[in-house]
Amino acid sequence: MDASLWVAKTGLNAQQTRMSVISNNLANVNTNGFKRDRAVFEDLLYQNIRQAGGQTGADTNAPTGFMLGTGTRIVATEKMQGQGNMIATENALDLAVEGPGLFQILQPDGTLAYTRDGSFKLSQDGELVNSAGYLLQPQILIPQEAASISVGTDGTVSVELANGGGNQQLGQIQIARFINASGLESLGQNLFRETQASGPPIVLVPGEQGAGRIAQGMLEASNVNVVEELVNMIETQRAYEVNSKAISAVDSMLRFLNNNL
Amino acid sequence: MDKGIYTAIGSINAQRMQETNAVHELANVSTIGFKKAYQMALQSYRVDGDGFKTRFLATNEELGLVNLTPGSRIATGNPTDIYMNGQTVLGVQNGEGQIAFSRRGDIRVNQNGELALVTGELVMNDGGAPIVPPADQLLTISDEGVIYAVDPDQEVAEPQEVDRLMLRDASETDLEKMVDGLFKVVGQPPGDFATGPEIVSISSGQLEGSTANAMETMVEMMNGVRAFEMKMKLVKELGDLGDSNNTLMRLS
Repeated sequence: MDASLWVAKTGLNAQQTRMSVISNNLANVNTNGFKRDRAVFEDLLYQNIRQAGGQTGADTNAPTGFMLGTGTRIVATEKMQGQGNMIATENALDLAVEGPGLFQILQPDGTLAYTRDGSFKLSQDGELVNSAGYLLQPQILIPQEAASISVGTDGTVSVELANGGGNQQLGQIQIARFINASGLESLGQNLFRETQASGPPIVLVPGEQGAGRIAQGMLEASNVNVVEELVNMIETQRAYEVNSKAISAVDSMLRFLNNNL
Repeated sequence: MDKGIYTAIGSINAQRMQETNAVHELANVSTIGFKKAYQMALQSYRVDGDGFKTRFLATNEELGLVNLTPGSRIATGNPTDIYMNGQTVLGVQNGEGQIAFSRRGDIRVNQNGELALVTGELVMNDGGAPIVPPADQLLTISDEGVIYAVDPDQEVAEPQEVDRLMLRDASETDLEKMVDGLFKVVGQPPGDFATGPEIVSISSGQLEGSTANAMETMVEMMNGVRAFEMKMKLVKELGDLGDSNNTLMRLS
């Protein structure tokens, strides 16, 4: 009925979606290895009312076009891959990556997922698993007689055996990097999946080619900045208000039209 | 039939388009790098016909020109986010493979290893080709738009020059929006243009907020609502006048 009503509606929709993104960020302020999302806005296609250079007379043409906008939309949510704070936990199986790399996790369906959450546990068979019980790749098997576990900055896992059994090297944790880490798809459970946009994983030894070193006894906290999210929330709320105000203004015009003609 | 009613409706229609534009700006208060169009003017256009030359129709003129007034700075800390200073614009490739310009500065590496905006348009180098920085290296962008790559393995960082962004100064060039919201030079097909006299510069780690001004646009809208009511009132009065014309000749 009236173009501006629908244009304002696109604004309300987009701000509503942005609010969901902010709420999700705030809800995950204590999630280990969580990367915050940012809603990416884009203006919608323009409507060409009059073509620039169109003929206005036999010898004259319009110097500029007449383009009417049709609103806004959220084109993507971008994962902000900034490093979260490091929290020292003193737990030997808590690992953090200082750099852009991600741990590889084998999901029950046989596909690989990637995570920044390095709070690993031991399964009943002594394998390193994440909180959901999924295996870390490549697999690391901790023998039963291990007294202490140490993980080097290059991912080498070694154990000190009990009763003076000596030192035993078990394997090396590898981490994956992506050309465009912002393009990873979140699966929930702190896991990410490779997508067309992220590019294929580049599996590296920690500490080499910028993959980042592994820090033992540390966890990476969420990179959500509460102050920034609250400011975003205020901005979203006000932007929502001006858009709803625009709808009520258009509504009052239509009401006037209906009442007075 | 009184032709005044058409003059009034013509003006209302023209103004409704301005209102739509205002609402579009309000909808884009959160769009990175969004630029307002220069406010168009209602231009009067004389309608010739029988009777006195009293009819001037209001028509809209010039909405497309991009107003490159700088927007607010949003610090993001991301080294490949850029804020274009002054009237600098960034060359990107539009959906049809042509060079167009934008003020969005959220540059990322896409799945093919090329630099692109978050909305997907490829970022162009000074010669109009896509930029492929070396993989696995940290990118920084200098104030004059030169991209440097640093190998994180090096003990002493030695930035290597990769390429230069296509930055153009538009202080003496009029730009207009295309259908996809990117800019091109007024009256010309999309493409590169000669940079102006000002030195192009950017600030990295920042993004540009929308220049849509909620307060100003709200006032414009209110003004529009009242003008609409006034003109509608005029239509109604003209209608009543027609009614009394009809009853004039009635006998009973």
